[in-house]
Formats: sequence, C-alpha cells, structure tokens
Amino acid sequence: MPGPAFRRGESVALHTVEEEDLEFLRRLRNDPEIRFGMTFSRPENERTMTEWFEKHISETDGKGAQFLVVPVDRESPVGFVSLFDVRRPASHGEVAYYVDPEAQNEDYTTEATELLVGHAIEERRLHKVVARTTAGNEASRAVLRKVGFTKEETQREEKFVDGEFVDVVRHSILEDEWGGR
Amino acid sequence: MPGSAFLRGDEASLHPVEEEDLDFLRRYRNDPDVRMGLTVAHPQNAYEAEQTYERHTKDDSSISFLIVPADADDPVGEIVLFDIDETHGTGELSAWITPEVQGNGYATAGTQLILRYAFAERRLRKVIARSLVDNAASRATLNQLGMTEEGIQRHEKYVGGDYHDVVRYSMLRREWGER
Repeated sequence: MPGPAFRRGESVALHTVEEEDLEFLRRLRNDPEIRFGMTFSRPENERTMTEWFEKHISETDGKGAQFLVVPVDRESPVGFVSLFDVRRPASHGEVAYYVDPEAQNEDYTTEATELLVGHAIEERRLHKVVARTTAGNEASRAVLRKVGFTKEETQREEKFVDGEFVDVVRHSILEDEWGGR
Repeated sequence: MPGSAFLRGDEASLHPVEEEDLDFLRRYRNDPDVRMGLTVAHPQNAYEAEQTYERHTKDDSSISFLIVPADADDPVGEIVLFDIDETHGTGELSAWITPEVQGNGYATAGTQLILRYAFAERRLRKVIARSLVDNAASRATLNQLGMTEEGIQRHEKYVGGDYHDVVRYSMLRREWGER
C-alpha cells in the first residue's frame, strides 16, 4: 500500500513510494506493454528493485522525486511517475510515467503528469521540464499535448526496441508556459 | 607528454590520457574561455580531475582522448565520447581546444577520428553532438562534418546570466559511410 499523499488532484493523488510497493512496480517494469514504451530492456528482479529503491527513491540527494499514482477513490496504485535527471544551474528535469495496463486511463496519466510538472515548477523551482516518448506512442504524446508540452525535436533512430530502431520525440514545457494546476 | 597514439589522422591523432596529463586538462577545463562553451559551471580541482580520469578509465560508458597535432608532441585539447549505450548503439561527443590554437581545424580532425572510432570500432549506430545555438565555431565544425540538426532544445543551458538554446546534431552510421 502506498505511503501518504504528497500532492493531490481531482481524480488522482501522488503518494510516496514504500518498500511494499516494489512488487507492484516490479510487475509494471517487466511488463512488455510498459517496458517497450519506456525502452527498458533489462529484467528487474526483487534484488534489483530493492537496490533501485534504496539508491534512487529513498536517497534524499535533492535531485529527483518518484511517486505512485493513486485514484482518490481507491487505496491501491494504478501507476508511477518520476522526475529525474534534474540539472542545475539550467534547472530542468525530465518526467516519465507509466500506468498499469489493466487500469489504462488517459485521464489518470494526464492528471498525474500535471501534478508532477506542478511539483517540479512550483515547488522545486525548475525552469523547464522535459519528456520524451517514442514517436509511435500516440497515447503518451496526447498526454503531453494536454499538459501543455511543445515538441522540441525528433531524435532519429534513437532507440532499439523490440527489433526495430525507433525515433524519439523530445518535448518540453517552460515555466512561463505552465498555467498551474 | 601524452602516451602513444591510439588513433592517427593526417592533421592530428588521439592519445589515451595519462595521469601526467591531468594538470593540462584541469587547467583548461577551468578556463572561462573553454568551460563557457562546454557550459560547465563547477570548478574542477585535482581530486575531481583524478576522479574523472578514473571514471573514464574504468567505465565503459565514457572514454576520453587527448588531441595532439601531427607535427607536435603536446596536446591541444580533449575529445570525449560519453553516454555510450551499447543496447541502443548511441553515444555523444564533446570536444574542446585550447583558446590559443582554436581555428586550426584540430576540433574537426579530432571529431573525424572519434566518429571513425565510434562507428568502425565500437559498432555504434548513432553519434550525437550538442552545441549552444550561438556557438558559431562549434556549429560550423559539426556542419562541415556532415552532421544533421535534429532540433532545438529550448533554454537547455544557463550560461553568463541567461538561458541559452542548444542545437542537437546527430550522425547515423550509414551517413558516415557516405562520405
């Protein structure tokens, strides 16, 4: 069960990630439906997930922030969002998100991404937030458009996924484009 | 004085970095005329130079060379291939030349050598390079080498009190073969 709510929206809230949630996240990260979209190609077992949890999530290095996405009318998580690769002094960071294929719901993803971008810009004083998707991932690109991201560039044949070289589209939103939500 | 040549070209060669070269590297990595172009805002002392050296030596995801002109013994700059991803077959390059000898084609010569290394020895499929939009010298080098502009990363760097846009270039292996 996820930890306390950290940032609340209308239909979902972002909650802290607890050790008990690693089983949920391990299932998602190994799922081909998710990992092809994320361009992950390494299997994650209990041990690698624990190391990731200790190194990446629990260490307060002041860089990123990771959350579980929990619908306000439920107790169990439906997805995960991450702010990572925070760079100073340029003050930008990248966001990534994935939602349980069983609970695929674009509205959850959109609001969770909005909450994370709000956290980055309004709480962490980032100037810019970046998000990348594979070019064929229409659902993810639709989420970014709704949140207010702009396409920056197409990175040609940037990733090798499921036997093919695929383009990656890099999007960004600047602090003065962020309406606040 | 750098160790033996690892990659040789007509105008310059690339040499592995030795511990004795760290003073040279540290001097210029801290030089405002060099580091502003690289958008580096952190000072590098001897300890950090040593750590960077250790990382390049041990870690398969990055590699650094000294650029030495064909008619000289001393290095004039550094070229680094970093963020090497063997699964996706990508890597990014970055180079600097000492301010005194910029404009002599050493960056171009060094970049040609590292492209050959990336494609012909490391079997990478794609090499990336980024430059500040207003760094005309760097962009001229990348254009001359036949790299393609992928797009503009808005406000990607903060240098000299302002946000600056960055251009991302790339070359695919099949484009390198076309020359």
